[in-house]
Amino acid sequence: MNEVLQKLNEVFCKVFLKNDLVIHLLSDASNIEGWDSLTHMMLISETEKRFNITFTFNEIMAFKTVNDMVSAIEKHLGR
Amino acid sequence: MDSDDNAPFTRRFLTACEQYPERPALIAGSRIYSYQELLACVKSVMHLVGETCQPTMRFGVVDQNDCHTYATFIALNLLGKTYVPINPRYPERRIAVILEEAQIDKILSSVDYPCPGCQVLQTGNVSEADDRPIVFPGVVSPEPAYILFTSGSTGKPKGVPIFNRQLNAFFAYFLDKQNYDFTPDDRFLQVYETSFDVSVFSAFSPLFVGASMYLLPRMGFISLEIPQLMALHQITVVSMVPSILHHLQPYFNQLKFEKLRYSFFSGDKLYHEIVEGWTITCPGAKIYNCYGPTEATIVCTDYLWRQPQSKIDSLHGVVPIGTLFPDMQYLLLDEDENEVSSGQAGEFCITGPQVIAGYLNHAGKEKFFTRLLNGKQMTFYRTGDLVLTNEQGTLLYLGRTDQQLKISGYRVEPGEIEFALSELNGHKLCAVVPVSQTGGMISLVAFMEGAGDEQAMLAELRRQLPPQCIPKQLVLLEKMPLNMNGKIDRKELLNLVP
Repeated sequence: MNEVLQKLNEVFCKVFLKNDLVIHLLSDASNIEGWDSLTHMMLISETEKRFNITFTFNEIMAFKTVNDMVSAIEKHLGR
Repeated sequence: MDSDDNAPFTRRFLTACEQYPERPALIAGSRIYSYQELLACVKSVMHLVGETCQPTMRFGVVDQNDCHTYATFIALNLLGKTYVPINPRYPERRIAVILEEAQIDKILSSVDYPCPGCQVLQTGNVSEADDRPIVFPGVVSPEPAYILFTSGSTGKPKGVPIFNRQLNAFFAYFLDKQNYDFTPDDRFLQVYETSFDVSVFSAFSPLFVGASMYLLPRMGFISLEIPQLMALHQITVVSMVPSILHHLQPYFNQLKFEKLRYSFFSGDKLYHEIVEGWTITCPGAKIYNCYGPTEATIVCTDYLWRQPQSKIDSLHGVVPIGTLFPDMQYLLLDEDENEVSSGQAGEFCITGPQVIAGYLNHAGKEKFFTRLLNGKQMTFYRTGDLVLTNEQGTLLYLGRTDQQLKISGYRVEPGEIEFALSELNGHKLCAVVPVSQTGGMISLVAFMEGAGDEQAMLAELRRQLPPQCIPKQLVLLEKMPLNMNGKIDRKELLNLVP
């Protein structure tokens, strides 16, 4: 698991209150229990804090999978 | 009472069809239904119902978020029958309780919908070019127009029967008394599930004035879909729960809704500061904060937000709920049922043409009482909300007198969840507490005494209760903390949240 995905996994564990949650690049709202509109916005907020970045509205509109989030984070981090 | 008061509230739709047959009535994705087409769907459903189940008075209608769902509501209303919206997101057991409480054995759905013990009639196959005349029932129906179910603290949802006279009173305020100037050029966004009563405003206001109703898809994330569709379709009227603003707040400076004329909020506390930010996105919009329990038919107060007065009017940063609609009246009562003195807070008890006389099957009788008002016995509903008035007579919302919560605008009774949990674990002590999350959002954490499989119990809860009632986490405790009075110490539980 790469570093960004690993840190993002910690964010997911915090938001979903599940310490044993394991995410994958293809994880999305259809295969993570409780990933709804409310938790999605919490995920974005916590992710921004964890990586010290700010997403644009257009970026968050395009988030469909964990991979989309990882790509956007890496772009902000200049990787 | 004028006999017309209880005439089908959707008669206004027929008038709009006569006036604007070619105009777009309902837009679902890329499909645009004109008033003429929507009326044809309505007629077809009326004929289907008339031909196959004439004596049946109550029907479940599965909310498939499509043209046929709304056509079915209108058709049943015009026929003098009662509809009960069925939310397909709800677990089977919850739906079974609703059907049992409402004594329903016939369901209408636009697509296949398995429902054991019920006859399911498909409305999706009806002709959209039905030009047969409508045959209306000869007498005004004494039945409710619809029945909605709210969370009940006793573990059973309570049925709220809403009659045409209550809906006619509501729409008279919004559409006839020129408080709002909705026109056929307006484009409304309908964001609510139909099990939530504000949907009746969002769906039927446009259809009664010749305007267009855009349906929000139920796929994706609602908080993001709303601004996207508002921009795409240049929406002019939208009603939302305040939590959507909390989600969008970080992006206000990237959003622009130039065409928005009316922005309504209801269902929860609306904070002044967040509205200030929202105005940047919609500089031309009038912003209203509305309030109303389901028992008083959609909403029964409104408050026009404006600077600088709203900042002065707001209490603890919360925008006032405004004033009651003109035909409604209220009392603010203390714990001994006496009216509070001027400027003091009391339980908001309301009466008037929009207030129901009681729940279905005589449930929750304690929530209603009668009192002589201006020489007339009036039925009051105890809202459970703590309210006070300022010097101008504006109503200010303070909070609940009980533990009821609002999650995404839905009423949630922790008692109902606790009841369901205790059933799973031999009636051991359990408690559900709200936990504040990022951006003022609330999630639920459940605590239970004893041992067991937390995930299995949460999975069982998901089979019984609607999504907004499912705790994010279940914590098992060896011993439940109790206070001096032997009651569960909920404050202490907040310290135990992981």
